[in-house]
Amino acid sequence: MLKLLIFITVSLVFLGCSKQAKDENSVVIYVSEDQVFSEPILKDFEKQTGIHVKALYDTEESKSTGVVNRLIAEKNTPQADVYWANEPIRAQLLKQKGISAKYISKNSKTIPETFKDSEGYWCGFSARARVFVVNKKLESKPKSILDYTNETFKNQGVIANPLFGTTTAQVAALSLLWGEEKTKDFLKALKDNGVKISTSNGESADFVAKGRYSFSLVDSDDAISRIRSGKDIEIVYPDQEEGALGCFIVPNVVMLIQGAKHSKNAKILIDYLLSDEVEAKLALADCAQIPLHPNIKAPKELKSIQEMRTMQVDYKKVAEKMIEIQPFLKEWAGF
Amino acid sequence: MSKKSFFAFIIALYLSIAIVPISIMVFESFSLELFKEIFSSTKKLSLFQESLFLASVVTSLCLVFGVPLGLVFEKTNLPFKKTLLSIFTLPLLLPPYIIALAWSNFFGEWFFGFWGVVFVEFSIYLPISILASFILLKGVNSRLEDSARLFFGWGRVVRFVTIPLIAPSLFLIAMIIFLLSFANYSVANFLRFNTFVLDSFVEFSAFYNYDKSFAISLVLVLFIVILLWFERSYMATRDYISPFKNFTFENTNLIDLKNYKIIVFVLLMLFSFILVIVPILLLIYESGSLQNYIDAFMIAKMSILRSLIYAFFGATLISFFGFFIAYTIQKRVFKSAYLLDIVSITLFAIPSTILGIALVQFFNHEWSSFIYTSPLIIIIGYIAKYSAISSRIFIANLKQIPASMQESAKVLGASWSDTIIYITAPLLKGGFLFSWFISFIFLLRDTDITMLLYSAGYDTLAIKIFTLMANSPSELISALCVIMLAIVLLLIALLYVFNGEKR
Repeated sequence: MLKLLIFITVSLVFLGCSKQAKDENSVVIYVSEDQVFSEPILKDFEKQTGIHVKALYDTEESKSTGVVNRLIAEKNTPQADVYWANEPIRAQLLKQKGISAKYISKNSKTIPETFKDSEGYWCGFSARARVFVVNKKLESKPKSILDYTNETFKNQGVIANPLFGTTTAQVAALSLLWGEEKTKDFLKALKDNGVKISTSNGESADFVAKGRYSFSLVDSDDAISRIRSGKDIEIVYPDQEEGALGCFIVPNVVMLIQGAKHSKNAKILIDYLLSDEVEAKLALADCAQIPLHPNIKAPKELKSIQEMRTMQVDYKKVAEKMIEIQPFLKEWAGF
Repeated sequence: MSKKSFFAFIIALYLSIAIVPISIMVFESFSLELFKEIFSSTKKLSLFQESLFLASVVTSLCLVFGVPLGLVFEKTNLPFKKTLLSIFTLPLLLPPYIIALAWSNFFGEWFFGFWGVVFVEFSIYLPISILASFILLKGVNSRLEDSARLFFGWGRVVRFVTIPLIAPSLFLIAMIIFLLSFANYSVANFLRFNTFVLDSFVEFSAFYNYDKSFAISLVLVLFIVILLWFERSYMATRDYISPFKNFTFENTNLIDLKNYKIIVFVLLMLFSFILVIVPILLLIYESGSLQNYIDAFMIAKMSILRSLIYAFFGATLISFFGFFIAYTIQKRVFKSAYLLDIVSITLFAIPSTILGIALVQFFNHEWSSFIYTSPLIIIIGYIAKYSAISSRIFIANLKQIPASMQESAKVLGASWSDTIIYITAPLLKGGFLFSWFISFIFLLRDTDITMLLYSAGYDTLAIKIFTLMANSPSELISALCVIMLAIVLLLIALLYVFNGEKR
């Protein structure tokens, strides 16, 4: 019994100490952007600066909400130094909860004001556009998100669960622009038109690529990755006519965490993520992110921000609207 | 140190890491208003009923198929029994979500919904039913069957002697499967079937409404307490059989299948092919060339190592605490020892998101950072979540150790610790092995608890698979899943070799 207890104690001490050597030259980042795209960027940062990056990633099924919950739960004793969000709405939510800290990076100067917090609590970079991914076999292609309710496309559409990820943000943006009633009517009509709900944008894109559905609203990186792997699909930018809504743009966002233990390294990392170099890399990578720095070229398969009609929204207000519409969204999603 | 003091220390340690964090959350989050809201919501009650129905269907199917299969593997002269039993246990080795993914890719759209969830959960939990029946049947006293066979054929012997002897223990297994099914939300979420526990997950994940998520979980806790009370009433006057006496395939009391041997074998091969081999083949097919496996291994080698280390230590400590919890309950070391059973089962069934957040809020302080920022927090999460499995295995095992053996040791002057070390523990070797092995598998494939507790940069293989799923090549994900399967198969092979050498 004594030997067993000693073994257990020694083991526990080993486990406890195995990560406890205080690593001053490190930075802890929580990441909601897909690991396959974000990890190479962070590894490059490590090589260039010698600062050891410890990253914690989100999972597909809880996209952008798992890590956010962790940040909220750890608020009083934060473990993260930086948060790399894949959309600005939850970043705004974290600001409201006092989890982010003010930091204005020198590399944020050329990023348009629309894509950063006016008080400096977060800054956008490398965006995606919410686009239609359409099966090439479809003769008549959707042109507007209202086509989800068009009888011509009955039972042909799919959309990611609006309780999670960028779909939530877009629905909140619609609610802001259209008003709540029109948005609710749209969502009800969408269901009546036989639109299926998938668990994620990636799954939606896969459904369209496999021919199970004809079109879906997804992030542009989900569309590009399937196109580059040879799937028989194409991109359609919704609502591009004069006076139309335009594409909802979803920038990545980076923020400094309040009470970060490695704040100096955190700021170096934030500066790096907001640099031209990172935007260029993310544009060239399979994620095909659209740069917000005007001097960086967009991916060849996509239009630049300047070339497309974009939805004009205040992300702060979109975040507030998201909280308001959540009870309806929950009911709509069947909970 | 006296026996009571020592056990009090161990149990206090268990309660402090397992129940105190949740209790603080109860104290801070409890709201009668939320309960009223839940119980007055027809939607929530409807979800509860549907979840009950789903879990009941899955449990029934697992018993209807699992018990006869266990009987065939243990009690008949079917050829290649070991191979078939191993094949049927394979689904237990993979995260449920992966199996759901494999099947939905194969079947397509019509797979989504209630029956898809039933099919996936049935394939995942059937191995528990088969293995449990197989092991329980080993413990049936063959003399009872021999006596009955003097007058009746095998059919009536099995129906009126063998099965009734294992029925109380089967109730325990049924309860575990029921709770696993009821508490699982990843499969239901993926296959788009709304369940009661999924509702709790949505409140937590999408709305950051911890209080409501917790309130929904407390309803689940109440339900478990009722279930446990029923089980206690039903099992109180019934004996378990001895399930872990001799973990081998040798059995002198075999039913001769005669001319039906080949037919039964072919049918079982077909059944195992459809249920087990197809999703694994799909994963192997999807993973493509050997290079993909090499690439996957290089990406995940440190995650694999961490998974093995965490699962090893976690399974050891779970078995350690499981033994002491079981001993305390079975030997009534304290008056209200049975409450430990309720505590451990409740922690097992409660959504991992709730347990995880409770542990984060309790341990994420300066004074406990050496725990929270290290793998210890994951091990603690595992102990809190999975001790019930181990304690239940040990309870069943302890019941079969005659009290006279321990009393004899006492009469001869042996201390309580010597009795446990030299009498009780050796007799529990089989139980310890089984508890450790089952715990190891559950920990290796765990994502729910690990996701909320692992420190940045220290992910496990299961977490790696989930975080890479988004937009990574499907070959990479499939290769990682096959690697996970291969690790556990290697362990099973080592177990067989070890068990063979011991004989």
